[in-house]
Amino acid sequence: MIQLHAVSKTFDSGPLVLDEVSLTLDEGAFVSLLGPSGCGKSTLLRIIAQLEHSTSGSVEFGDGLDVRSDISIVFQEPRLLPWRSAVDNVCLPLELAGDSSKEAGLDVLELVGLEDAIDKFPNELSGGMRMRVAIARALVTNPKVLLMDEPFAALDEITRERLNDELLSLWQGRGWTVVFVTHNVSEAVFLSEDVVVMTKNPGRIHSRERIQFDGDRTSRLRGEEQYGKRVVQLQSLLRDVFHDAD
Amino acid sequence: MTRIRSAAKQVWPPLLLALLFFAAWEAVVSLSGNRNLQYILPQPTHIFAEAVKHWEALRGATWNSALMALSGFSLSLITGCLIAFIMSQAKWVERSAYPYAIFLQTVPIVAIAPIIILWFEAGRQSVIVISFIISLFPIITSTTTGLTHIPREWDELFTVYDANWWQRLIKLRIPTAVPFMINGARISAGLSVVGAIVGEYFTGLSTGGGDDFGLAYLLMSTQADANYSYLFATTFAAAMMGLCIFGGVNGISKWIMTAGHFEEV
Repeated sequence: MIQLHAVSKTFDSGPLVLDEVSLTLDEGAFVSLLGPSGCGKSTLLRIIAQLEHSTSGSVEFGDGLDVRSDISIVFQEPRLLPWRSAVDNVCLPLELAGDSSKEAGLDVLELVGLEDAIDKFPNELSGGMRMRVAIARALVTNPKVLLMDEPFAALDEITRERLNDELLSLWQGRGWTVVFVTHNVSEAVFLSEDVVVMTKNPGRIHSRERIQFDGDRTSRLRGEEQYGKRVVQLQSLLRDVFHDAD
Repeated sequence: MTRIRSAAKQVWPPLLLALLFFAAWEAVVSLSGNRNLQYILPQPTHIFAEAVKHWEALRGATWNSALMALSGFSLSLITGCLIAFIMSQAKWVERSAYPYAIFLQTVPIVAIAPIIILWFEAGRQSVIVISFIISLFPIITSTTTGLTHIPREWDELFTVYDANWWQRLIKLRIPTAVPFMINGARISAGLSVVGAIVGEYFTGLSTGGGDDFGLAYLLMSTQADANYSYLFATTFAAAMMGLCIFGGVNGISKWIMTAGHFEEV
């Protein structure tokens, strides 16, 4: 669905941020980009969203995929406009496309469990609820691809786990293609089918790990041995990668 | 109920302090038996009696001056926002126009008042223009800042959604600028009062004996008549007027900020 061919990036005359990164994202896949801060994973996501241009290499969109209408991005911060209520924030993308109806907005707010907060303003919502509104805003355009840039990094552990559960079940039901940037190993293992491990200075893909479990993925998975084992494996892989880098 | 109680908590202490202050003033001046002191520092009761006696004139003058100040302030608000909008269109426009905006702030108002009267003739219009000029600058600078300093995160959001220039202006830049504009307006309101009184001094409004005189005329005439109790009463009226205009603008600002869910800057 999306293919990156030898994408490299330098900012002005700075050092190389991404070094010939090639990546294939299949339709309906949940892929995490995992790596330490400064490995260029967010930059990679922003290049896919065309918020940055690659210095060299190319991004190819398949099947008539339109970057502006078929791809949604969820940023690290909720980026809600304080003067707009939850539903008005959610409907902003539609409004800017010339559609002033609120129905789709109400539907996605219900989907993220905020049907009681539609008329609340951002300053009346908790951090987790604000992020839910931001996710609803990304979903309101009915995208095929969801790009998420460490969306839960600023939330506490309990809220993060709950939102992970919700995201997982939404993805299972809807079948979007999700690219999820994170530096949290257990989050990556819990959510993704594929974890792309990145190294830094310059940002490169180290390896692509397939994550598979017996049985359905639900919140119960966190208590299972197969999950714990996979997290430990990936953690030690990351340690080795960075030990080599130092 | 709790709101009323908390409001009372805010009002009572300063009111009590004022009462104590006036009581002490009254006591010191009357007990001193010093004629000279009583002449240049009239007792509060005498000032109050004088205020009651000239109630009609004081009320009329305060109202006229307030009208001048509010007219100047309103003009500043409208013109300032328009100028800010033009200046925010391009960096080079802002850079070329900014020195002249600074000129507005740095030129002593008393230095240009004669020219304004020369152009607009002595009368209310000149007073309004002087009040307008002195209160314009804060609106221009703060609104321009608001219109041009759009947080990068929001700007990017509008890029992602392919917003056009007009949508960006209406749905992003203007709402972002509102709290900035309000901060400018708070400063501007106080300045417009100063401008109105200074303007009235220069135009000598209603030395001809009409009933459209303002506080400056009363200040000048009571000073000339050496009626110092009346002078003090007029000064208090001017202070009250300034306080009311500032309080009113502050109240409206607070209401806009809360009702519109804007964030303080």
